[in-house]
Amino acid sequence: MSNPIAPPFQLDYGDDIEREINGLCAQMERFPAITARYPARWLAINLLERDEMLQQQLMKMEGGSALLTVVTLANGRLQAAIGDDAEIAIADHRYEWIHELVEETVERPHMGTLTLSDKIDRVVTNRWAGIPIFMALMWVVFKLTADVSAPYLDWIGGVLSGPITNWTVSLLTIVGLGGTWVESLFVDGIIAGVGGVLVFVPVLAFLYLALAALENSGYMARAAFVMDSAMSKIGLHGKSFLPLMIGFGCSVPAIYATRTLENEKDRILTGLLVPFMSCGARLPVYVLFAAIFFPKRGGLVIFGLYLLGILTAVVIGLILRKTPYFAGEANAFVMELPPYRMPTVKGLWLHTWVRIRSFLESAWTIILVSSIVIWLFASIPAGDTGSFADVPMEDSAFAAASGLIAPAFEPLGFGSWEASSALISGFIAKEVVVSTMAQVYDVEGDEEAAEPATTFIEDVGFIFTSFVEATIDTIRAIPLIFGIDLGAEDPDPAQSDLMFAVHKSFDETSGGYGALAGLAFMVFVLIYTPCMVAVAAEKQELGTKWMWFSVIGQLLLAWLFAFVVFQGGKLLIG
Amino acid sequence: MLRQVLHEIESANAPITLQTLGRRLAIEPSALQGMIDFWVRKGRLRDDDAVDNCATSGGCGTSCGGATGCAFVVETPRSYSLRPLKKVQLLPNKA
Repeated sequence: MSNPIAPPFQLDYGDDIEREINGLCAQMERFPAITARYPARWLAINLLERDEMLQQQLMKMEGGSALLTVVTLANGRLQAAIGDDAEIAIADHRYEWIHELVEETVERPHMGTLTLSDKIDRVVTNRWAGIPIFMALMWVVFKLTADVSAPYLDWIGGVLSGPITNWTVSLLTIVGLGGTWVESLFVDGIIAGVGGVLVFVPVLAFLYLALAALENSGYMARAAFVMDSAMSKIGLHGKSFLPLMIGFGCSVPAIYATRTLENEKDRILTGLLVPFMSCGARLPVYVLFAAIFFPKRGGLVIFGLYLLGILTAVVIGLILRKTPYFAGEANAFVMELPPYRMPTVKGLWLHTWVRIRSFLESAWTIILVSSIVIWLFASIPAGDTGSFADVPMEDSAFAAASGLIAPAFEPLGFGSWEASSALISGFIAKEVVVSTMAQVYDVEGDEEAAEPATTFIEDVGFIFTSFVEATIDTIRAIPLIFGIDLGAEDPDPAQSDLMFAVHKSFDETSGGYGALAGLAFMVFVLIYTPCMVAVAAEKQELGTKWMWFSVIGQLLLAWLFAFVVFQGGKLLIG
Repeated sequence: MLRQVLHEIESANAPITLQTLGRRLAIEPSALQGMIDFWVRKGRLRDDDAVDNCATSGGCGTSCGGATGCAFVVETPRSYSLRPLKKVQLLPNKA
């Protein structure tokens, strides 16, 4: 009884390829050293696929070079016959065979059934519903950021201007430095400057928390896909939206992220548009001004600013795309969407904390240094009035320098040296705009004298009780986003001294149109040149020429936009 | 099969997800990934390797959370871009 051995499996690669394989096998019989080491058919196929390791091995063997020459000719004939690379054709045959085998042998009862992820994606990545859903979620994020964080913002402000300032003054008095320029440095420079930005930690925390929730759930990838689709439909490169989305966090990594774009012109164009995506550092400015001039509509105003930035980027992109230099077609691409998952508390906390920590670290570097530098210039008398660290702010060297460019902002409604000084310092880092305002408006002196002295225990008690009150108000404010009032604190509380001072100043410089001037200021901050680190990134990634194009262009555009807002608004209001 | 994958991407004229591509071609995601990787090796697709490292290496001193903290960098999805057709490379001439 015979027991035939099943013939070895041999995939048919089609007539053309099989002909070349057989030809190569016949040629190999002239080189016994080679056929003794490698199976002929296997070797022929791998050589047609240009296996580099095999090529190197053959070069060392007798007859190897000659064989490789024959393979080269075979590949040339195949290219002419099938119009394709042999490696592609061979791989294609394999995949085809595997696919047919799987189709015949594997039963998939659930093939074609959509998973829950797929069903959700059908909605959130829908060509019509995708963008409105994205916009709605972003609106909730900004409402959460602007409205819900407000109680904690007030809490930190109260702690800094109260207990922290009290303890600092007390300690300095103990060591004999009370009432000296050292006290001024700490109170008017460091606490006012750094503290002016630290109050916005809750704002950023809520923003990062909301974004972390969207990220960890897997939605952000869908948002990127939806916006990429939208971008490609209006002629902009679809891949551009990923760097642009990064720009909502910070312009610097966003500009570096343009490296993912292979085409140089797409890269430059995207890099030019990134600064219009309002970065997180600008948020404290928006929150402050929205609270001052639009207390009941803060979230909406801030959302509107972000929207304006996006629209500006789209319009600028479309205009530049029409120019001969940037004209081109968008490339297709494939995107892998991660599965949806439920965010974990630990994951949300870690994501949020990492970003907040980085912000706090920056408070001890750039913001601290800039606060000290601003305090120094603000302590130097510009004329004969006062002495070092004992000069009215408006008579200081800082005010004099800032006052030189203030007239340029008069048509925009904020032609004061205070506003222009804040914008100048914003070139260092956008967070410094608020800390500079906290310093230049110099509102603490009279208020400190009016408050009764408190003990250390009373201060500690104030910290904890006010924290509890802020937490309760925050919890009540969450459902208020959706119109459910649980007795949350009046969203229009009494303004702080800084807010009052800014309000008064803008009212004066705008001829009574303070809110318009405040809105124009926010628009200016949105559009004007990003921070110096972002400019350095532009120089590195886009080149010096495009860096200057961006810097000057954004300054001019910001002035123009703010002018339209202020002057146009005045015409409308009458 | 391989050619079909490339053809679907080329003819999409817009971003397409791997999931959609797999459904259209009735291909398992794992098999599709292999084909995508093949085209990346052949140079017809480019693995964008979405930025997962902030070039500033840990923050630029502003609100940026750096490489591990940037709001949008960390979870950017993996994507592959179509590249223009290149001439087929034949075996190099024997030295």
